[in-house]
Amino acid sequence: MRTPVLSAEGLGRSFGARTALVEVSLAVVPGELLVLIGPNGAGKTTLLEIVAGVASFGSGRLKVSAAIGFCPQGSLHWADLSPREQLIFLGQLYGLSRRAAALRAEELLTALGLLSHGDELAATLSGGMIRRLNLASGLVHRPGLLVLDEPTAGLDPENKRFVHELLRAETKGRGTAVLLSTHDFAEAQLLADRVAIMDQGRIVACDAPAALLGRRSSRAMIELDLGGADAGLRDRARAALSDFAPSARSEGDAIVLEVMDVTSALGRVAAALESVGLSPRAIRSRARSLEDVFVELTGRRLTE
Amino acid sequence: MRALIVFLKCARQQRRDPIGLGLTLGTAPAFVALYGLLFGTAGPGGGALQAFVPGLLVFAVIMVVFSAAMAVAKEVESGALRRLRLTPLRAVDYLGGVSLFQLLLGAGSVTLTLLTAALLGFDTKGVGLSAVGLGVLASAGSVGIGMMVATFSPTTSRAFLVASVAMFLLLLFSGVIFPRPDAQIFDLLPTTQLHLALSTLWSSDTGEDVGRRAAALLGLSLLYFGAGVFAFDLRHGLARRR
Repeated sequence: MRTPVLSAEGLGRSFGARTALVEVSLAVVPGELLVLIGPNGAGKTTLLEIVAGVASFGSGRLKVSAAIGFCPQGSLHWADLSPREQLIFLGQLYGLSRRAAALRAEELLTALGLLSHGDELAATLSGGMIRRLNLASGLVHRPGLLVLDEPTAGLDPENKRFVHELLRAETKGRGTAVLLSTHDFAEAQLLADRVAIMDQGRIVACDAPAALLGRRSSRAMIELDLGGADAGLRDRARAALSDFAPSARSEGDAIVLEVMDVTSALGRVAAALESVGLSPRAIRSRARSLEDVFVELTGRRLTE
Repeated sequence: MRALIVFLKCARQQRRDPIGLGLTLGTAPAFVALYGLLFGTAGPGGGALQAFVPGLLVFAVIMVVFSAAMAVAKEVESGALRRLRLTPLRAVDYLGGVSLFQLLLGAGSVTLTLLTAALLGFDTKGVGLSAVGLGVLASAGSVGIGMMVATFSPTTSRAFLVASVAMFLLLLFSGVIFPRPDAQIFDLLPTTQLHLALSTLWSSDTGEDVGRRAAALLGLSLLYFGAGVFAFDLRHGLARRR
């Protein structure tokens, strides 16, 4: 059993009357990537800032036994310096010699696909490149714990790929522990060794994606595409379906429900829809996703 | 060592802003040249120029308030200061590096102003170096005031406005343009002390008087510098992590 580089027990934090974190406990071991997922206001950023040491906590205990690299949201760069100059500057501030800092900058620029833009002023870089530069800045000093607040939000697939590859190299190659937040369930499932689902300042579940998906593993999902049916009709359909699938929920133009057995459920679905005078455009069955687990645990979708 | 790293970064950034550098270093010398051309150097003791130069040296020192405040506010505005807060950089190193660079700009501006004046016929009376030294001392006070301005300025445009308020105070109540008010509180302005010191220097007073003025200027500049660093550190403290 590896010793955690990050260990938090019962962390609590309030901002006036608003409670941001309630009894949050988690641990991250070297080489592990733990993803925090939850809606806006769930407490993810507060937790990350507390772990990174830039915000204080009101109660609980926190132990970090490695150098921290923190990449907050937003752009934290010098527009009038090139990425290479910034990385060398930061490296020197962390105590590297100029030569060592230059080598490290080269390494990071290569890893993040910024080498060909390494000597351009940051003011001329695209948003995606700036995000990658932000990530590189947090990695300059080879931290043992990397804390990232939505590092891929708003990035195109190409930029996301660079970030994902770097994170894999850091965790599996160097043994860096990573704690990151995201809104993207697919990304969480793809990257995470463990996923912590946060809601209203609490961690409501924390486990490997497979284990989270394996909860109630005998269940399956049915997605009913209702086309352009109006909201009132959709609500009536959902109510009718709830009689045998209480978790039925609207997702855009569709209704999603969780059933024990797809084949036997289809007849009841058809009957329920017929009772409200609705015929679906398409019926699909699919495997459970982390988003389904999130809904099951919190009773709502991430975007609600 | 980290202060030196910050100093070099400031120098690199300034190199990328030649217009800003030109305005900081060249405004006072340009006005000296303009005054020289408009009013000439005729008359006893170098004429009008002889009267204007001490005031323009004070103006050169005031330019440092703008330069220092806007350089730091730019880092606040861009989020770069947040990045620095994540490093082991201490406030004293950061402000040390920034201040050293701004002090260099102040020294450059004062020197260029005096050189321009001398080229146009201003009589330095052999104490030009002492005048530059006094200007550098006062620049330290300007850097401190610049830090205080930056403390209350989340953006560079706000820094410019707040620095303008400071400029009015430093210029109007120091006796440079209008007669100095009787209230002794205005003696606490570094520009008042610089103006008095320069006037003493060029009025052939005793070395003892100049030394006394220089000591007052040094004390005041250190006070402002310390207050500026303290205020900035309080607001934007670096390396205060767990």
